[in-house]
Amino acid sequence: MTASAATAVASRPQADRPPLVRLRGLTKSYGSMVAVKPLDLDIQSGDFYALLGPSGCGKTTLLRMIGGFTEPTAGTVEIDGVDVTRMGPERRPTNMVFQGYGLFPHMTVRQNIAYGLKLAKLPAAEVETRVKEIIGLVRLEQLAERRPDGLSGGQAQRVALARALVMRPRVLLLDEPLAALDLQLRKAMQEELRRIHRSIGGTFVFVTHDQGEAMALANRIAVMDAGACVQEGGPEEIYGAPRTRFISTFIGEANVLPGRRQGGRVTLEAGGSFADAGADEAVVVVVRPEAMALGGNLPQGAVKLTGRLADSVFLGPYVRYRVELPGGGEIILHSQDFALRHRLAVDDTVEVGWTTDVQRVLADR
Amino acid sequence: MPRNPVVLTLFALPATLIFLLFFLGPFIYFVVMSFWSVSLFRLSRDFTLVNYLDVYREYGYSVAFTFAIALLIAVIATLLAFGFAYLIRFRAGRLGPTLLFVTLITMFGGYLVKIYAWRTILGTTGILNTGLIELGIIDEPVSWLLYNPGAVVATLTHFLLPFAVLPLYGSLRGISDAQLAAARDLGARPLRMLIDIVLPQCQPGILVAFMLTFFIAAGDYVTPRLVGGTATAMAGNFVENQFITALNAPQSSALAVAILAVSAGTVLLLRAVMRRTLAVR
Amino acid sequence: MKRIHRPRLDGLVRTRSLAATPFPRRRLLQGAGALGAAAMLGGGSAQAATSLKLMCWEGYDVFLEGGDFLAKNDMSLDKTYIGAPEEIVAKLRISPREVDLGCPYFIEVPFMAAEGLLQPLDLDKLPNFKNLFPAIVDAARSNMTYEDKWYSAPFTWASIPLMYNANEVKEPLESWMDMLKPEFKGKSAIPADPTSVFATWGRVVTGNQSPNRMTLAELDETVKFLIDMKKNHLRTIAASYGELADLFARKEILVCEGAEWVAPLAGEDVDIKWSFPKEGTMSYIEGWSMGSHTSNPDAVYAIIDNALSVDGQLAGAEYNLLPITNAEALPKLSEANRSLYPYDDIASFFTTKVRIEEMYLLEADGINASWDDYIKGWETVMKA
Repeated sequence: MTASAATAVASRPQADRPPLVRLRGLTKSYGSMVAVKPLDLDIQSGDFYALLGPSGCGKTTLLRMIGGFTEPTAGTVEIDGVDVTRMGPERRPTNMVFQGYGLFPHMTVRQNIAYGLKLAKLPAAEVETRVKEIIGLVRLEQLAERRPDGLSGGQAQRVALARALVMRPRVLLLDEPLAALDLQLRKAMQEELRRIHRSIGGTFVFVTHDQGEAMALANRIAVMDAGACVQEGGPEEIYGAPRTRFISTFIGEANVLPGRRQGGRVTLEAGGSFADAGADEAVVVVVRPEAMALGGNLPQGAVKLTGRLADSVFLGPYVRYRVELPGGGEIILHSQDFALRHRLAVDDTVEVGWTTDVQRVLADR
Repeated sequence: MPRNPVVLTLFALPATLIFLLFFLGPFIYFVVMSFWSVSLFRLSRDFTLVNYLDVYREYGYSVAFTFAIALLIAVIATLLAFGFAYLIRFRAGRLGPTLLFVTLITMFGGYLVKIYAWRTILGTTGILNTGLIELGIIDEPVSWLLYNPGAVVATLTHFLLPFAVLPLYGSLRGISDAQLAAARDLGARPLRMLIDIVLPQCQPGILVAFMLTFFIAAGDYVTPRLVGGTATAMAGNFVENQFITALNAPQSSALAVAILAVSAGTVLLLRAVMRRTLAVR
Repeated sequence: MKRIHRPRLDGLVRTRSLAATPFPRRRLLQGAGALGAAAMLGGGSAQAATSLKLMCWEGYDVFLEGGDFLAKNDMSLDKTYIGAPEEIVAKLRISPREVDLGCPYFIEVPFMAAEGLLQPLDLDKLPNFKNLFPAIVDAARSNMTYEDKWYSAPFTWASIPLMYNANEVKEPLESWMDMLKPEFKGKSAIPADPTSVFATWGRVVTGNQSPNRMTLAELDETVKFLIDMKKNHLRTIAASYGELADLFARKEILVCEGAEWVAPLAGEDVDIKWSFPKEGTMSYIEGWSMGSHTSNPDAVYAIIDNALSVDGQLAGAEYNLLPITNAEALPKLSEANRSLYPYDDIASFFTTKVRIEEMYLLEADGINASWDDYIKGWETVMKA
């Protein structure tokens, strides 16, 4: 129990190590409706892996195919070098924490957790030891003899987690694990999940539609849209270098400015231009609000736009400005220069800008 | 819900009155009556146990026969209904509500209609015989299909099936898909899942389904008359005969009370057995 | 009602209509639906000036109401349909004021008269009584009078002959024992009506011409015979006489102990004939009687007389497929009804073809069977 998430992150990517979960050409279609398009994905041992996307993007179907609850139309699922594509969930080295948890209401917390071990016909003493250990891990000692209807949402969540973890799965699958909890509890459970992952060092794969949750928990994220994996990588990479316009707006906040590249130079519809090598085509320029600068803070060689200051809000760590551009667009900007706020008034004409090293130029498709 | 005790009492009053007036009152009257006697169409209100003695001496066999046939019907109906409800709940997908609707519709099909339908199926010139002759499987109509205890079991099972489906479906609806998926994920095969997860949570539904079918079957006297033939006189037929032809309400009441007691005992026994066998270990 | 000529649709539709329409006497079993319907019937139109409390078999009330009698006389009937005639005895015992008139089983009338449950009838107040067939009045006299006074007024009658499907049975059957021939094994039935079963078969088995007054030994012998017949010969014991018609129609049986009106109910596909076997055939006459505590004897007389009138007779007879007792109604009677009953030969019918039974003993004497013994005997048959 020494391998920590931090070392797992540090050790990636590592092409020479075979992945724990290897998906190849995995596809699921219902009639003419394609839920998951042919997809390749590698998950390394020790990963805390997020399948992130809006509802209906196919992320849950993908998770269920890994767990064996949904049979793929084509492609293979390999876990630990074994092809498990045709195996049911009861035969796979995976366990799942279900959305809604699916706790057995007629069993106590302890009985719920012990159920899988008893099915596996483990000696009673071992069952007891392992159940006790896991109950300690998820801090349910006081509730062990209660039935699920006497538990709060967070407690039920921990029971579901314990029931799956006690099986010591090679891969733990979690379907929207925190969706049913309120905000406060969700934050606490995120911490709890990180702690548990750290202390047992297993491999967790979870599905979420909440990019904040993905960022908070995962060391690796696969962003899914319309049945396809559109980008896969570490959180910083996905945030800092979104590969598509969809990702840039789905993950965090971003200014997306349309323009056109012609002869190695991009000209924005809102004005402003800069040199950029590439084919002649319509493009969008993506800039994060915190990478934008305002007024006198503009650095040398920045791309500059002029607009009207429409709003400024003090949010504690930063001030959020909204600048309306003459063409109808707008720019969101986060600044930590609190003094600047007092020099600017709403309706002032202001200059905003950024240096080309913080922008992403993407083909507009 | 209102909290005011006066208002609550007023709300509960109609149901309580109906229960007392139309259920408990007559029931107590019949129990008391069963200790009286009748001679020359005249009621004697002196306490006697002779009616119960006669239940044992004269009707013991028919009570036992009724018990056996009602048990058979209740077991078959509950098992079939469980399978049906299970299909509707977990396998039918979008067809589920339609299937349930069809079940409800057949419930309104009526009692006599079902009896006559089965006679049309099983009779000498019935659908089954005609079909078998057309197919060349038999040369002459077989007569043993109708007018025997089997026909009573078939008819009453058909009639009672919807009564058993509804409570079972109600119980099964309380079991989420996630529970079944979780059990499977933890390594449970279908039979284990049924025993460990589904049945324990279905106990109230099973009990109600069994109770409804058993009580109705045990008290029936019309079906045995119409499809049971010469050898299928159930206790209800003697209740009716004593009550209507002999005008011996006390004897009739004692027989009815005895059937009720046997039925209630059976249901309590089933409950105890279920609790024991389905307890989480 | 045109039930006689209605084409047969199919088994289900026909039998359903049987279950739903009123029936003559001794439809022993109608299921919960009919019982519920009967319970709902109380009350009638409360606005009528006169209301009478009636207890009778379902369908018999049509005799009383024939010719729009109720509306013309601003009268209403508070009806209770019976499942057994003994209910009338019990009701008159417990609350005599609750029965203005009823149709007690005629063999029980002398006993009821002796008990003071019925009022003697003043025949002057029943003008139509003098139009009744004399043969019927003679046949009814022994049971419907007590100490030379009439306590019941005959309005219809029926017999329990040997019925058979003449499409299959070519030779007329002349003995009840013909029903036990091997070719009718599994093809015959009796009704679940102990009264007629013991009257019919008691006579056959013991030769006692008063089958309601058998000795215990004779009853025992009859019971044993019936058990043997039930176990080894009968297709079923029919729940009702209507059920017998259905059994004929569905070709379940070829022969049975039945009643004349069963024949038309069996439909046109089967030609049902009947005979009055040489051992004797039971017949019974139905009459209206007045409760001893009626508050309105004049109204009761008026409505009973209407049941005996041409209008009442025609309405009730055609509706129930039962015979008339008033000779004046004969010219207007339908051909169908005439074909069922021996109106041409009615004088000798009651003296040569059928027998009128007498009352059972009510109290056991150790040698002769009482009513309770008959019921016990019937249950023994059922249980066997």
